[in-house]
Amino acid sequence: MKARGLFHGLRWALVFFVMLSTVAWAAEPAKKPTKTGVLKIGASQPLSGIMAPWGIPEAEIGQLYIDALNEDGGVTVGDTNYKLVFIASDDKATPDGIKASADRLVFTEKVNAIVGGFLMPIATDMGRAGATANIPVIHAVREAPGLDVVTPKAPTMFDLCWPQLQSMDMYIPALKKGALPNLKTYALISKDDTYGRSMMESILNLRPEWQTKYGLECVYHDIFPITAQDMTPWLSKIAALPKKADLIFAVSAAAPNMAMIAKQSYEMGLKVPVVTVPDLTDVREFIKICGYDAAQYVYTSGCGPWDYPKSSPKMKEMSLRILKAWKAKHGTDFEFGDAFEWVANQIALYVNAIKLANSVKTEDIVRVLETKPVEHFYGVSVASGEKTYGVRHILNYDAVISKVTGYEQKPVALVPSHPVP
Amino acid sequence: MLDIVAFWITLSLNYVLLATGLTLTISVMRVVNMAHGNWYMAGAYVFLVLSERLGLPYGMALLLSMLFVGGIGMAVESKLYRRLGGRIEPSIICMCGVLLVLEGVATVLFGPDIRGVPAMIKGTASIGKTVISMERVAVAATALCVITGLYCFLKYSRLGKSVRATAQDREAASLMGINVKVISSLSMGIGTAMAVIAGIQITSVYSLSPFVGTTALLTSILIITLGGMGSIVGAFIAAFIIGLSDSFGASFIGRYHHLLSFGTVMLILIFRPRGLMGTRVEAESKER
Repeated sequence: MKARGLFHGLRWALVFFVMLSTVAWAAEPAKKPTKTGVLKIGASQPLSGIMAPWGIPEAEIGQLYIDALNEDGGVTVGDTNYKLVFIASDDKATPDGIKASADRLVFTEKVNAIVGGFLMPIATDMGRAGATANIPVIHAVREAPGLDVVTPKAPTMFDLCWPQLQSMDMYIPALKKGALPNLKTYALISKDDTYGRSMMESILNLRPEWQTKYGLECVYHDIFPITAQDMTPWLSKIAALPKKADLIFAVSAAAPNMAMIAKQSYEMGLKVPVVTVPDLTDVREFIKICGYDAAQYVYTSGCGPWDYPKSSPKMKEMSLRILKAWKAKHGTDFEFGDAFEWVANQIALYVNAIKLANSVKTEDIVRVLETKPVEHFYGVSVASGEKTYGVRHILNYDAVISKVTGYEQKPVALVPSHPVP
Repeated sequence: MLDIVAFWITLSLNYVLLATGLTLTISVMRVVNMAHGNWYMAGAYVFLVLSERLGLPYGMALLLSMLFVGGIGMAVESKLYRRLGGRIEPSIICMCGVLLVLEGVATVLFGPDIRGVPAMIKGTASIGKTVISMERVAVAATALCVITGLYCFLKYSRLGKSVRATAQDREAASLMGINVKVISSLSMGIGTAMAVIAGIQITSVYSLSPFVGTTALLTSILIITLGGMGSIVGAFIAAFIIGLSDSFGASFIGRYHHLLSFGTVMLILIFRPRGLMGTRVEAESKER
């Protein structure tokens, strides 16, 4: 009996020893990388001029994100640990500025990847420069129909676009479903630039579909100059329409235009939802300009990843960490959630693609972005297949429509991205 | 229709406020102050700091903004522009430099975002179905007061007569014992101060950012060109002509209304190159 008990005990001791050894072996720290390197990520952003209210915070958030990634040890590929360096170049959101920015980043700074970009010429100049240097280019430009003649085929270029633009055909129907069930009519206005005109054209082409499928009727449409400070002429016409507009869709409006549309439409007694696609960069200042009551009618799109329904806990945590770093630097809270949606998001995509590919080579990164779901701040991107308008790859993810609620912007409706073919 | 008329009148008086300061500096300095739009912008930011951050009452903040920015304008005139000896091209380049410095400083200090500027009076008033914002009424009233005040200053005060004499003939004024350097600085200071008033009033209706100066400058140049360089009455009339084409044009033509504004200016200049109220003396002195 005693011998049997001893054997039984020894057997369990042996099992325990084997388990412990296995755990110890598994827990053995990975071999430290023996080499170090630098990955330069260039961002072309409007850091001056009329688009600077978007470009500057995006570049700053991009820098803070890079700082956080470096604090966490950078990016390790094989036996090389890479420190990330962020280089922001001012393109002034003008065609000449973008051209100069592209050349500077690629040929002077010799970056490993380019992110950022607002305008259609981005696709031409960044794509050209990126293709010449064979580096990944991840921008946020939605090309307009009929413009593919000026954009080159750029095999390393990806459009991690504002999803709102990719899902424009669902924008107002999604808002109706999510927040405004009684919506029947809308007035459509847009600023007179490349984005504004192409978005206006897209919506006008959707009118029959929106009418038959969703019962939405367009009762007015017009374009205003980008320099227009006073929106009275357009709002007066909307106010005088025989068939009242239940909503004003200022599909592309710069912040000054938007403030005036919200303010003056309220003053005129229109008091209908005012919807735009660009996010508000500073809700409190916006409310100071247009008034608290008028602002409560405003809907925008985009929100911070901390509020986004499909962001992973890891990315939400990273976004909150960046916000904390912003507050430590500036002393103020940062509320412009959309700032994460461009440069920082594109950086996240690039870095995570490197990790998935376990390689910094462009061809490996491109293959991953083309074929695998890659995580970023707003969920996971999937390539929607080849091409549109000279851009080889469009990466999809859902959009969110937010409403000014008090002094914040709160998500109220989801705009689903198009399924991958 | 009444709302368009109301829009026309308030818009035109906005333009009057904008252009009057520039008219004064041109008449004395003989060079277009390319930084005029950004003095307008800078004044609004100074006002914002004084009224919001320091909590000063509206009137005091307005006055101090005018004095502070006007003083900087005078210093810039005496230390920078005057050293260029009245030569046009270097003066314009120098003024463009001042424009960029002001824009850059504002962007660094206040950021690129739009900001709200406190209005003198808030609220709306209704005339029938037409609603007018009280902020616009305040701007219109301010414009009338400013232009009346400036007109009286130039016509009836001794200093104003010195300014007019210097504007008419600098050399002769100097020979008559007028200190033209002081008058130049003073004119620049007054012109800048008027840009500040315009900036504070107009940005309280719309919004403020470091980049609003460019539009303000272009509008001002259009008005003074049409009105006649250096003519305040001309600027007043030109502001109403351009306001008419902008307001009615925007209402009936839409986004191409600028064609109407510029087309009107071109047409008038073809038949009257010196502008509506520009004088032949000015043209001859330029030729000399």
